Amino acid sequence: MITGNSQPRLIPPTQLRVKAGFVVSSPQDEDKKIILLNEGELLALDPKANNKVVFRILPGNLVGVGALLEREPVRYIFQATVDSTITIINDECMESELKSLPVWLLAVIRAISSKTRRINESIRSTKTDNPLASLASFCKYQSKDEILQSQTLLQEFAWLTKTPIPTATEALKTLIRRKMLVPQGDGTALTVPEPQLLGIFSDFLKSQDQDLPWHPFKLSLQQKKVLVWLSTLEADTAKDGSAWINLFKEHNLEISVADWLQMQQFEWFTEQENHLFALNIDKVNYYLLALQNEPNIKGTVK
Amino acid sequence: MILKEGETLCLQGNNPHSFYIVKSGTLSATTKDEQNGVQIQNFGPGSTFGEMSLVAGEPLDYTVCAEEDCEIEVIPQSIFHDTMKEQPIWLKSILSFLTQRNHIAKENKRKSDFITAFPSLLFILSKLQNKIISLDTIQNELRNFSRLSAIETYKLLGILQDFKLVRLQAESVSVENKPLITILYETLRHRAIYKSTSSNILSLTDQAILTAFVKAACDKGELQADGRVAITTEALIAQTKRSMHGMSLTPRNLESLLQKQLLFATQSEKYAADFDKLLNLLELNRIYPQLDKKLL
Repeated sequence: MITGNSQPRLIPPTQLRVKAGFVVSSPQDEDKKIILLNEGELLALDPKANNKVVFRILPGNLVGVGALLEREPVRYIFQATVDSTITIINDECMESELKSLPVWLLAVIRAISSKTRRINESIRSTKTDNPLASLASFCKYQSKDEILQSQTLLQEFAWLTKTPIPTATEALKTLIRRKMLVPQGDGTALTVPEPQLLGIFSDFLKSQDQDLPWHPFKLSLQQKKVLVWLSTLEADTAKDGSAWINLFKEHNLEISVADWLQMQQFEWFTEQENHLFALNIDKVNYYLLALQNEPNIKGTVK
Repeated sequence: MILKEGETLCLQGNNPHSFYIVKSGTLSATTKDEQNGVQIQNFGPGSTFGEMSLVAGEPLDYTVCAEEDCEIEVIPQSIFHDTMKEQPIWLKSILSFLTQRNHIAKENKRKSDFITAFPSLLFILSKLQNKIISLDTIQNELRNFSRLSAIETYKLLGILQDFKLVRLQAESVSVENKPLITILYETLRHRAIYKSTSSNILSLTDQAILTAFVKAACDKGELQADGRVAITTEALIAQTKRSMHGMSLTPRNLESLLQKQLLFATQSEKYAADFDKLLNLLELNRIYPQLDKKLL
């Protein structure tokens, strides 16, 4: 018979009075349910620890939400310690109630639930956005040419970053392919021939991830010539701006003021007191090493 | 509610006490972690946000702006409260349970990020060459291993300062005891990778003997050609007796220290040790048991 009533039928929760010692829920139960304690007291017992008491549930508290809404496994046995009154909300009851809710309220419940799930997942997940860049950064701190055991290196990196070993292994293989790490012996060991190059590679990957221009690969031909010449100078050589520009000129390296400003942006010079600019040889060498290894860094190994 | 392109709906840190459902258009949500503005997500038609603001009165984690003209349904707290009045009491309990669980998850994540970043910070401090390191450098390097915010990194550095391993300055950190930072890192690494206690962690008896050695060496130590400090066996026995409430030093007591090469027996009835190494090891054994409590 068609009644014309389109409202979903509400299935009410079950009210139960239970005696002391009654087990209201256990991990073996097939049907998932939420138990709301109205009166009395329940104990949560851990069956994996000889039914050790884990916590007490007092009136007004409820258990089993994760099991019913998130399908999480039930971990404890819930047993009444005294005569108690409980409300049981099972699958059908919850489903009928959720169907009767306004759509937005249902969305609120789902959003909170899924946000919590995502947070819990992120606790267990890797702590880095780019495992390759992260491993490269880790390896830049290793000593040049020291024999390192690959497995130990990976375990340490995985411990620091919570990166899964298979992911870390893939990243390690990439660094070997790019000749930034060199396998030794039967391949269980490796060395880092140029630790600074790994730092440069990591910086390059991070700038790519952020869609930022990476200056070492954006230099003009003239800037490259200046860079090579600067690398032959003594560290900390200091001059004022016009003296530097004149010096370039003397060495047939004519540069514009814009070039000069860019070089400061590249940090090839550090401004000192009295408007002097000291050569930052570490930065110059950084750019030079990046240019010398451009194919490896970009992934087009010769 | 209609939002024009470029208009801001709500700001990070503000509490609109509302829940939003995007009907049409796209909004961008950006979060700011100190200096860096990072776009985290887009909200398109059907997306929802603001649930914790509605239910628990929490401020928003992000700033939401319209990328294009948008239509948004806004559920204010008054409607939420009126609707909940009509619902069975147990539904309110479930909602409050879910909210509480969300808070617990957030706190667990904060703690987990904090604790897991600690070894990475030690690793970086043990590897960087300079004694004075800018906070920016530390934060940039740490970002390779962890997503810890600058504020939380500063808190971790504060713990290291409490142990006198570093000294915090306005915009930099002075590394006060790099060898101790290194052995602390190695000790944690050993525990994590080999699932066992590092040999750096000494028994109480070993600690007591080494403490007695240090005290005796301060009074009567002799610097040897190899850089070690030596004391006579009598001086060590006498100091151990004083420090360990009358306990006699036996060859057996010394065995593990000799095996670990923390003490060396010399030919002239003396015991010698690398004094700085002993001091750092004793300090490690003092701070190691306090670490977990400090981090939590």
